[in-house]
Amino acid sequence: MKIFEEMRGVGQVYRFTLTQHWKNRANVISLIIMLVISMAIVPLSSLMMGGAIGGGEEVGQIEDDAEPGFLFTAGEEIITVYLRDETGYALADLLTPHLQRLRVMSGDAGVTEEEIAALHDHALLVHAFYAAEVGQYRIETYTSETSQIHAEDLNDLIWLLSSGIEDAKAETVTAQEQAWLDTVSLSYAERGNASDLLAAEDVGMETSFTVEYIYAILLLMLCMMSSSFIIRAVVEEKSSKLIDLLMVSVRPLALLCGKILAMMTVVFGTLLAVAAGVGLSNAVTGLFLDTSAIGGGLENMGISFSALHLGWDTAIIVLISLVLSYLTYSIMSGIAGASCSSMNDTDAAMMGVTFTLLFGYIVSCVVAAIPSRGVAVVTSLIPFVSSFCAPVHYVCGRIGIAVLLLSWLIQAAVILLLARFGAKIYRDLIMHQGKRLRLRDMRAMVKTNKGGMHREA
Amino acid sequence: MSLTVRDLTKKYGDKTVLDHLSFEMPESGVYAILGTNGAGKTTAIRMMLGMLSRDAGEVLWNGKPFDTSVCNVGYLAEERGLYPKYSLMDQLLYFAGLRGVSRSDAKKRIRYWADRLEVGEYLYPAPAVAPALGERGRARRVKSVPPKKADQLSKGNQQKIQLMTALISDPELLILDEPLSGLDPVNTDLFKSIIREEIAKGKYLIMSSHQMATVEEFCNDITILNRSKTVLQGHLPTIKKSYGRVNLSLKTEGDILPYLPGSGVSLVHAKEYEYTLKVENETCANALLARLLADGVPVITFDLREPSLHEIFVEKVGDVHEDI
Repeated sequence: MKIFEEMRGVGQVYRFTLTQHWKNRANVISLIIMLVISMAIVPLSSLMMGGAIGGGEEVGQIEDDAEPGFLFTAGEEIITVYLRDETGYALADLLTPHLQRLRVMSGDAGVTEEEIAALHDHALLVHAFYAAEVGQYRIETYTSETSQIHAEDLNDLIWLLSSGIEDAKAETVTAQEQAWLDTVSLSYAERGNASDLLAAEDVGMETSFTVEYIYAILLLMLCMMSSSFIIRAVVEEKSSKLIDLLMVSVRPLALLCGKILAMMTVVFGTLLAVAAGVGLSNAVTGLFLDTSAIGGGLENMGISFSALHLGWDTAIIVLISLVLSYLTYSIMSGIAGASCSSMNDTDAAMMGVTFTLLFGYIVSCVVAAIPSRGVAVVTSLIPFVSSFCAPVHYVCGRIGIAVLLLSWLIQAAVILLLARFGAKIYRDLIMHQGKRLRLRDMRAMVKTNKGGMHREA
Repeated sequence: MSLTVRDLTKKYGDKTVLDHLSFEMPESGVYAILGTNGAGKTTAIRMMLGMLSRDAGEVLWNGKPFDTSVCNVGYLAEERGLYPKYSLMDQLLYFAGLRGVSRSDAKKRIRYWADRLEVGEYLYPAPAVAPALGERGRARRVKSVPPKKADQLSKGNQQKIQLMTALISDPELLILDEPLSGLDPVNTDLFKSIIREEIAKGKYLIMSSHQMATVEEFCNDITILNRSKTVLQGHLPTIKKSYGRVNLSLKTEGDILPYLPGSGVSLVHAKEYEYTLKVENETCANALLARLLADGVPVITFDLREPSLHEIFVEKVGDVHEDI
């Protein structure tokens, strides 16, 4: 019941903060700019990556459930495909029904420069092998410089080979291996079947790094924006001498929570609006441009989202992770803001939050380039860093759902600890006037204010 | 209803900033908390309102622990503040909402207080001027003037808005910390008239002020704090009576200074034949008057009265300073 009493007035603070945020023209203009960018990104990317104008119909793409026909027959000449298969999965058998001219090359010494130089304009050399250093299979294709081979055909061939390797791997996992996977490793056991586990290996370095980078940038922007707002809002009330007036009617924690919730609405509302903008833009652009060119372009850069765990469950996982991260950094910001008395101190207060955010961001970017499950598990469990790493590692298949849940649990515990810390000192912090309080001052405050919240003698 | 403050104590480390403050308001009226700068007045008010934690003591409203969710409180803080860039109307509605006043009631009350305090022009958009005809006979588009924001108001007008925030919930207990500081004489009178109205409505008022004349005008009971300690407390007329009538103002048409030695009367101030005197007791004053009259010194004014609150305050605080 005490907590409900402490939260009295939170609704009023929430509504007022939200209303005043949207009454500020600069905030409205920022939102409009973000919406314009989100709606322009699909058509611009399509055009930049060679999407043909006038077609929404996908050309040369193989549907998931469709039987592919012969490849490399779009041109006048039949293409000869030379295959060096070092995977051990008999890829030639897979390709034979789809190619008119296939030459299987013997040996397992990779591809030589002479072989590449010998390719004529109507020839394609495919090298499929297991790259032990990155722990995944790779498919490399070589053509002559004057080759007329269609990019769509090349994409189809790579898709065919990669899905063939995936299927073959799943078949080769024996029942014994399955049992071992289910019992020995936490991350393995939670997966339930071996094909899911092995699919994780198929997320390439480029894809993993791209996903990590996009998520980290998104989280960094989201937290920086909200932290800055919360710190400024708290300091503004202190420096405008409003605290006495406010605290007659509302408890300090309700004052902070109202702001945090209002900013959360702004941030997640903006995120939703941007996502809706991209979705709408994609649908409309599809009527006029070939949007599949974006996927093709990304695949040419080595980025493929097909092996990721994407779906509605992913959206929920990302949302939960964002909310937990937001709460962690916003409570930190509230405490940092309350330690200041004037607007001049806000930069110093923001620095602590910014450093923590940047630390998590940098670690996540570095970890994305390290294909180690151990590193992925550890970074998914370290507070503050896990905000950036855990959901991406899960989506890329580096950690399982149990590790993700454990990561959330740790993040929730950190949030509770921060909230408890804040509850103990927030009232004294917000009443403090003078030089900015540092962490050691706050710890001293906690020691002398053990009762917390609305302490009475 | 009653308000009881018992043994309120606050310490910061080894320093005691409020030392066992106790007082009671058994019925409606005005209670003054006076003191030098840093004596602990604002700390006492903040502790009463639950803004600062208490190291000891309790505050009771109707015999139950005081809480702003139970008692409808209006507070005009010493440190006046408003959101500088937000609309004043939004702020007033927000503060009213925080005090549990419905939006429609709040709007009515804001209208009333805006008229009463003459700040309507800052809260409501100025009515649009009738469109004038342009050069070609077309009506020009005229925008109404938007209401002002807090940072565009003078200090006095900001203070009026702040008083509105204190009064908007029609509080049972009104706490005014230096309510008249920084006001011009016209606005001082306006504030005083509003304070009188609130007293007449049977409200409980706690006032903290350095302006002794104002306190004397309104207050029944006082506490004087000095360096965190209570140095004088009680019913103001009784306190004054206990000092006796020791202040004498005398206006004559002749010099009275030769009569003063050995008379129990001492000179405080003299300007021509107007004297401010301090007497040991009423008998001494009357004896002086009798001698003057007997000697044919024309006496125009003879005003014997109790000491003012200002004098009591200076005496009490001065004593403690000397003790220390």
